[in-house]
Amino acid sequence: MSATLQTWLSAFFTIAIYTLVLYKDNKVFRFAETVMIGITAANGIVLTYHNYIKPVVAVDIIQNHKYLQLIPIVLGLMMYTRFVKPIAWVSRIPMGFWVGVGAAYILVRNPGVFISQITASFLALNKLNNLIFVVGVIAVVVYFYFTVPIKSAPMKGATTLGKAFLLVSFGATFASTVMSRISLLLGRLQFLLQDWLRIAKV
Amino acid sequence: MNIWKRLSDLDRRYYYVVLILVVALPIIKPWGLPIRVGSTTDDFHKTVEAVPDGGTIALAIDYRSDCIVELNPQVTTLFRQAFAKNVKIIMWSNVDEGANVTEPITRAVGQEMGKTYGVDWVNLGYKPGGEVTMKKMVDNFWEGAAYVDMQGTRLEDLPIMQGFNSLRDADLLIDMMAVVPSPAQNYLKMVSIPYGLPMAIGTTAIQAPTEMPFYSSGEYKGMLAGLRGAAEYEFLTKNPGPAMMGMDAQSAAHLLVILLIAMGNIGHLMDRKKRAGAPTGGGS
Repeated sequence: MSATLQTWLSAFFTIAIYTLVLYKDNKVFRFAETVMIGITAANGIVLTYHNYIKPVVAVDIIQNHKYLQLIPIVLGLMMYTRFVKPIAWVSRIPMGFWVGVGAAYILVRNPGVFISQITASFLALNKLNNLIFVVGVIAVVVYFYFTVPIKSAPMKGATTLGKAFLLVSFGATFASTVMSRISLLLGRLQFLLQDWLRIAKV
Repeated sequence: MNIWKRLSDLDRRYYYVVLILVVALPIIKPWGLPIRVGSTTDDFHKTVEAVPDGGTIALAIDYRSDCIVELNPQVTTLFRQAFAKNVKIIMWSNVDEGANVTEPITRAVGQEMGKTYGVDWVNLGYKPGGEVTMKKMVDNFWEGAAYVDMQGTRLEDLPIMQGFNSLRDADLLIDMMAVVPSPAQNYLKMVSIPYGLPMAIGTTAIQAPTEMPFYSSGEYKGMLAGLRGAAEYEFLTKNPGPAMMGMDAQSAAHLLVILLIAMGNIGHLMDRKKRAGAPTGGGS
């Protein structure tokens, strides 16, 4: 067995978290969950401050006198006014700015990715894979066509085919989810058996 | 009570115990199942191989400690392949834990291959801001990276950063990611498509279907998908590691899951058949 405190702590918290599924909701699980949430939040705050806010303030504002950088800081601080009722309306200003910039950003940047996806669906129909791909794209688009009621037989057939393609896609996604979840368990078991108990080769 | 009814009524914790045993046994005694390399991994390998000697890979680490099983082997193997052909790596993270979870493994590979921190690779740490930071890194990389690496060392003191003023100075952009919304798709929007910078990704199996359309359309030049992708990559670069070792357990667990799904469906059909055949109760 490993002698390091870090390994023992990791083993304790791993087992504590697994008690929820292998036993039931209990105080050990609650303790482990709370510690994890606390550490994650603290880690995020400390890293953001030391690795970004502090050097940006030190270099951009104090050293290089880029005072325009103060504007986003002020906008950010204005968000907190929502906690003070009489001046809570102030928080709407940065929110409005944020929504405006966000919408403009989506309009400018998203078409590049969107159009390239459309272009990629224009394939030569000389391979079975390409044929399946193009038929699948059209059938799924028809499935999501809600403008008019679909009554004609060809359209109904296309929506049924679209649904079949979607179900295959959901099946693949579900299988990938299983694969990832098994990987999580695998990682913890590798740690417990190899690093902690040392009954398996590394 | 028939066997199907008993199995469906069995406490689910028994199934968890069986799953744990099925995953644990191949870890203790590996079987060495063969690995076949898929096109996504092959393309990823070729894309890294195409970076010229002395070139630079910009590497974003966008995952947390929950995904180290799938993504740490991908990062380790990437470092081995890049260092073997004298390619430099500038890495940072858009996710708080990202830089921390890769720091020990990248240091270990660097030491093992005789590489120097700050000359052959650098870890710039957590850089929040999402798309804004990505855009800044194109316009002025040092400003986007907030002028310091993970340890607080100023970028002017790091030889690798000399002359690297924009993400466009990189030969390849790689995002190792496992968060939602996808930072890789943001890098496509903000950097790769507008500036023509080749991009590849590594991701978890759960996110692979979401990212696959961008590989199929050629926007990602290569893609490592989950532990399987990591194992294929280790196999291709002849660096057997934890991913290849884990594939036996992964395969065993998949067999169990397939068996349980089949049993569940058979049980459901039997139950439906029994109900259909049962006399319906009369009511007033």
